[in-house]
Amino acid sequence: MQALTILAPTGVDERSHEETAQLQQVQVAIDATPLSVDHPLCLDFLQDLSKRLLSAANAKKHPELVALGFWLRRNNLNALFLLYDTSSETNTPIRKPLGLVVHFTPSNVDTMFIYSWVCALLCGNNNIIRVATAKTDLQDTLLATIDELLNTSTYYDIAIRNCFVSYAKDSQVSAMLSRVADARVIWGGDESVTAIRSLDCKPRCRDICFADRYSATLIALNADHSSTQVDDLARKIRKDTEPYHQQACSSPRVMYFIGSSTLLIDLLERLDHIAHGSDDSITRANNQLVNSQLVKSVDSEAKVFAFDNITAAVVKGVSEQMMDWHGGENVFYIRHIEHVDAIYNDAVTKLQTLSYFGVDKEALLKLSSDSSISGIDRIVPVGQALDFSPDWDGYQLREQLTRSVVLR
Amino acid sequence: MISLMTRPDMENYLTQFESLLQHDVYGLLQEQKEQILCNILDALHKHHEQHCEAYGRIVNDENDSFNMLSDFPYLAVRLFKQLDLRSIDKQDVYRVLQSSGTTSQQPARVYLDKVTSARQSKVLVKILQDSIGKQRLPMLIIDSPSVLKDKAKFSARGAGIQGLSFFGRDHTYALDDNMQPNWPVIDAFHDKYAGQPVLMFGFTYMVWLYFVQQLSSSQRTLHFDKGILLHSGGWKKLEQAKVDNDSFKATLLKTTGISRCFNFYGMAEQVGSVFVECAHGHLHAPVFADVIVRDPFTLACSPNGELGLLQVLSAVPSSYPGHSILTEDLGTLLGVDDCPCGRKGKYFSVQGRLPKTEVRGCSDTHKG
Repeated sequence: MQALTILAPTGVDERSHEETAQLQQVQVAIDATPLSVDHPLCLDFLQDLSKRLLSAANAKKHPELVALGFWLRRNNLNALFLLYDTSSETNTPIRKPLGLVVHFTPSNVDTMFIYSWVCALLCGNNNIIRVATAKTDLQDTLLATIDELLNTSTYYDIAIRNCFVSYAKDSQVSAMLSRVADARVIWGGDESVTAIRSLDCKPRCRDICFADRYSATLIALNADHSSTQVDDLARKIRKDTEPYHQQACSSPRVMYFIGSSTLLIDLLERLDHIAHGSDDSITRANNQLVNSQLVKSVDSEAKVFAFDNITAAVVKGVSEQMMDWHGGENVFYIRHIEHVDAIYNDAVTKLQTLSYFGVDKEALLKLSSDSSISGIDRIVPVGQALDFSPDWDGYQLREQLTRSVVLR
Repeated sequence: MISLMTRPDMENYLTQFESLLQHDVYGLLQEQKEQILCNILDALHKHHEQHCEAYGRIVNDENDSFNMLSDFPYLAVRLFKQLDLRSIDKQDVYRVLQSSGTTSQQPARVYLDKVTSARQSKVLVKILQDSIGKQRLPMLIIDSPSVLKDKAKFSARGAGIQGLSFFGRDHTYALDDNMQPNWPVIDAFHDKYAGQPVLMFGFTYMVWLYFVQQLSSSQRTLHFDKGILLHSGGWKKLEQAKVDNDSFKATLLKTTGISRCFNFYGMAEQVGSVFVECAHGHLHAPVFADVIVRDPFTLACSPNGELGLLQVLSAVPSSYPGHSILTEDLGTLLGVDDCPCGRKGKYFSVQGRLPKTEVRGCSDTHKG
C-alpha cells in the first residue's frame, strides 16, 4: 500500500502512478512560486469548472454539484470576493498569497473541501488537499471533473501548484505537510482539529479551524402570513436541510418557533410534504426513531411528531448531549418560544448559523451584538444557510489566506 | 378482546410466566399465544415504565391500552448502546452483558439481575431441548477458551457459550488463542467420540472460517454422522464470501458428517428467547417470544412475504426494558401456524442488516 495517492491532477507526470513520481509532484506543489491574488488563469479555470459541473450528466443526481456549479459562476464569485482589478496597481494594501495552504477536509460532507480550496486558490496560494479515503459517488464525480480540467495544458500552471491527495490517517503525511504549510485549513470534529494542531508547524503558520458546530433557524409566523408565504418558507427550509442529509454544520437542526401551535404544525406538514420522495433512504425512519427516543429519554415533556418524511421533537431545551445525538436525516428539535430573548441561553459557542424568517433585523442585531453570547457567526435569511461565503465560521477567509503588504 | 389487567405487578407477571412454561415450546396457535403474551408484555411494560425512568419517559405519550402485540411500544436496539437502561437498583445488578460491538462503536450494555438471568437459562434450555433433545452430549465449542477468561467484560459471545455449555459435557475448545484450529485437541475429541452423538456450537462465521474451511483446506474429514451443530450470529461475513445456508450445510456435511445443523437467531439484548431453525430452514418463534416485521420506511406492520425490520418481543426480561425491541436486522415473515415441520406460531427468515449510516456533521477529518 502506498503512503500517499494523488487523486488529482493525475496527468502532470506520465509516471504518475509510481510512488516516487507522486511524492515529487507533491514536492513541486510545495516549492513552486505561488501565482498572484485573483490570477486570471484561476478565474478562467473556475469558470470552466462551473460550466462542466452544470452540464455533467452525473451532476443531475447530485444537487450539491449543481449548487456548486452555480456558486462558481463569475458573477457570484465577483459579488462574494470583490475580486481585485489586477490590471490596476493602485490597490493598497497590496494583497499577496501566503504560499502553501494545506487543507484537511471533512469525510462526511464530501464536497465542502472545494469551498475552502476555491478561496485559497483565488488568494493565489498553492494547495495540498487531503481528501478523506471514504469514497462517495459525489466526491468521485467532483474529483474526476477537476482532474480532467487540470490535465488540460491550459491549466498546467494551476495543476503543478495544486494536489488532491489521500492517505491513511495513521501515516506520517499529515506531520510532513504540517511542517511545510504556511496555513492549515482544518475541518473538525474537535478531536481531529486538536490532533492536527498538535503537529509541528512553521512559527508563522496560520490555522483556520472549522470545529464541531451546529445551526438553527428562527421563525416567527402569524395569521397574516399567506399560504403562499408559508409554502415558500417550507421550501427554503428544505433547501437548507436537503443537501448532505442535513449533516452539514450550517444546516439547521434546531428550529426556534414563535407563533401558535396550529401555525407550527401547518409549517411542519408542508415541510414534510415537500420532503416527500427525495432522498428516501432505508435507514432514515429507524435513525429518526433512535434520535427521537434518545431525546425523550432525557426530556419527559418532549413531544415527538413523526411525519412520513420528517421527525420533529418539541423540546424544552437543547443540550450538548442532544446535539451529539442528532444525526441529520430530517430531524428537527423544536423550541416553541415566545420571544427572541429565549435564544440567549441556547446560543452556545457551537451554534454557527442562525437563519431567520419573520423576525425584524433590530432584534437580530441586538442578539448578535450581545457580548455574553459566544456563538452565532452567521445570521442569514432562511434558504441561504448553506450558501458558502468567504466570511465563514467567524473567519474572513480572504484576509486569513492572504498577506497584506503596506506601501506608504 | 383480551382482558387487560388493571393493576399488574411483578407477582402477576411471574405467575403468568410460570404458566407459559407449561406449554409446549411451539405448541400454541398464534391466536392463543398472542393472548397470553399480550398479558405478560402488558405487565412487563407497566413494570419497566415504573422502574426504568428513561423507558418511562420514552413511552410517556404512548397509548396505554394494548389489544395486539403490534400495539406495544418498542425501543430502538441502538438505545442500549447509548443509554444505561435498567429497571433494577444498582446493587441488584448481577451481571452486565456487553454486545461484541465493533472496535469504533460503543457496545450495548444489558443489565441482568439473578432472576432475569435464571429465567434466560430456563427459557433457553426449554427451547433448545426441543431441537437437540434432553441428553447432555460431548461438546465441541468452535471458539477459543480465552473468550471466557475476561470476566470483567463479559461479552455476548462468552455468555452465549456459557449458556450453551449446559447442553453438553466434556467441553472441548476447538480453536487456540489465535483462532487457529487446535488440531491435537480436535483429533483427540474425534478419536474419542467419532460415530457417536456429539454437540457442536459456535458463531456462524467462526464455524465457517476457522473450522469448516480449515478442515476443507487441510483435507481433513471428521466422522460425526450423529452429531448436531448449533450456530448463531450474523451471516454478513459469509454473504461477502458468497456462502448461503445451503452451501454452508453442504460443506459441513462433507467435512464433518453432520447433517443436523440448526441456525438460531438471537441477540445480546434478548438472551434466552431465541428463534431456532427447523428442518425446513425456517426460524420459529417459541411461546416465550414473537416477531413482527415492520416496513423500514414507515415502521408500520408489514404483511407476510415482505422484507422489513424485525421487531422482537420477549417475555423474559424484567431487569431491563428489553421486552420489545426494534432491531436493525432485515427479515421476512414466511407464515403463521402452518410450517410443514408442524410447529405452531410465526416462522420467518433473516436476510441481513440495515446498512451502517454515518451520523456526523462536517467533521471527522481523520476518520476517513
